[in-house]
Amino acid sequence: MDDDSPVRELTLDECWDFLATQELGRLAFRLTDDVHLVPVNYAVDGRTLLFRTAPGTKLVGVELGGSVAFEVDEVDGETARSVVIRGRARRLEEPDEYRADNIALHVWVDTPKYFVVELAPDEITGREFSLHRPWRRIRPAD
Amino acid sequence: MTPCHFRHRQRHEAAHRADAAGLRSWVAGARYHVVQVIAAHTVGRGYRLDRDGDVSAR
Repeated sequence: MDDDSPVRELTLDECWDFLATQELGRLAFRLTDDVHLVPVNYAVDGRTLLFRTAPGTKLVGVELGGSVAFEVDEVDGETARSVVIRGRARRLEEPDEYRADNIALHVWVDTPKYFVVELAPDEITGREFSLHRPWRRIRPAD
Repeated sequence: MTPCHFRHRQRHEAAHRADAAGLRSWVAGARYHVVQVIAAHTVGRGYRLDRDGDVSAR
């Protein structure tokens, strides 16, 4: 990819650095014939992601299939970044689930979430985009 | 009308629809294709966040 391209591939380390700075991602999983997509707050633990959840479609999807995709993005001024993970998700049992207690994985919505899910990546890709949005600088004439 | 003309007209009409909807490319570069998502099922939720004491809360 040339230096002038508005799209740059992130290195693996850059992907993990980015994931560590963010807290909210989107989990995509298959349940029967449907693809589901839900937002979850997460934290990085080693080279995995952890999130908490309650009984529901996310947990069923994880228990039944385990093959998931996860996306995190950020738009910061004239730059945007996006990291996509493809991998496997599994519910952690004791004592593994205590890993979540040792990292900054907080419950954002005050409902019981007793289960901890680990997302182990098989593939991580990331991109950085130089945005070209001149219309945002255009102000209506007085 | 040949199949080629038909596809060309379809693409032209799709581009007009996207323009009319205010769809603009955020990244410089050519994007010739328009994709339409047809909703089969739509759900939305509002969340009241409880992040008191969460040092990461911004």
